[in-house]
Amino acid sequence: MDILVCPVCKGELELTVEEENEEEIVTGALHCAKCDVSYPIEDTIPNLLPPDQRA
Amino acid sequence: MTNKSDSPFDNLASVYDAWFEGEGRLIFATEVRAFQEILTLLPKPWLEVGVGSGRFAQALGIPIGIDPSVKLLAMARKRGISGFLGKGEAGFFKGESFGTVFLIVTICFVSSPLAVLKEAHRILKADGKVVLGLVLRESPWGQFYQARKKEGHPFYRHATFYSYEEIAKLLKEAGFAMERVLSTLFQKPNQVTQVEAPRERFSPEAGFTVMVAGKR
Repeated sequence: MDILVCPVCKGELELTVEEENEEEIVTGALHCAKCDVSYPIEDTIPNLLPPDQRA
Repeated sequence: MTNKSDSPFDNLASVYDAWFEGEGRLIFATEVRAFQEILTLLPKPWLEVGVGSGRFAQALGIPIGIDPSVKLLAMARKRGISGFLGKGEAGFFKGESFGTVFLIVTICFVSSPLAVLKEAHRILKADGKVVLGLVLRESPWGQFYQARKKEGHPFYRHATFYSYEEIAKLLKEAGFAMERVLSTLFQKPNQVTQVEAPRERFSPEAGFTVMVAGKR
């Protein structure tokens, strides 16, 4: 997670962990303070699609 | 809440993945054989952009992948690949994070090949390499898939096939220098009966072309 940046502004992301196991984060979020956008982590997969390209 | 994506591959994920063990088994093995020729030359860490269901990543030992299809990423995860839902054009890795970025049958499906290659350039270390695996437009297989595209094939209707010269120009424009080209799959469509060994250099008769380019 420490090599990730915001896909829009390339700024730092702040990680929030809701659920994790011994190996990985299961649920959480990566927040870009500059864009004020959160990128969810669900079922261990971070969703870093830009907000305007999410389904 | 569950991750969602609008990739055309979401609805056909099982069909896509089954190809590798069905009609595509020998084609896939031939393509993997070509990549194996160059793997020891490629600096780590490795990333695959357009990792899909993780078939190539698993076979080649690529631990991380990105893809816009959440259903394919879930399959990749079962193959031991760490997946990120995203697009190659809107990259989200810090600069100079990787030694090699693989784009295997991916360039033909992205909206902006140049943007994807420029992003690969940004996230590669100074001595990094980009590795492309492509079906080129001028090849017999390129013509075969273009015919399927016109018929409305569920995957290939989304594809744009490029010529060798077009890809070489895109690589140069993105800041890469071509270092090596391998050609394979000289057997014609619907006539594949064995796994082939790759040959050095570009051939318009090859159904699959591997290009290795270094960061300038």
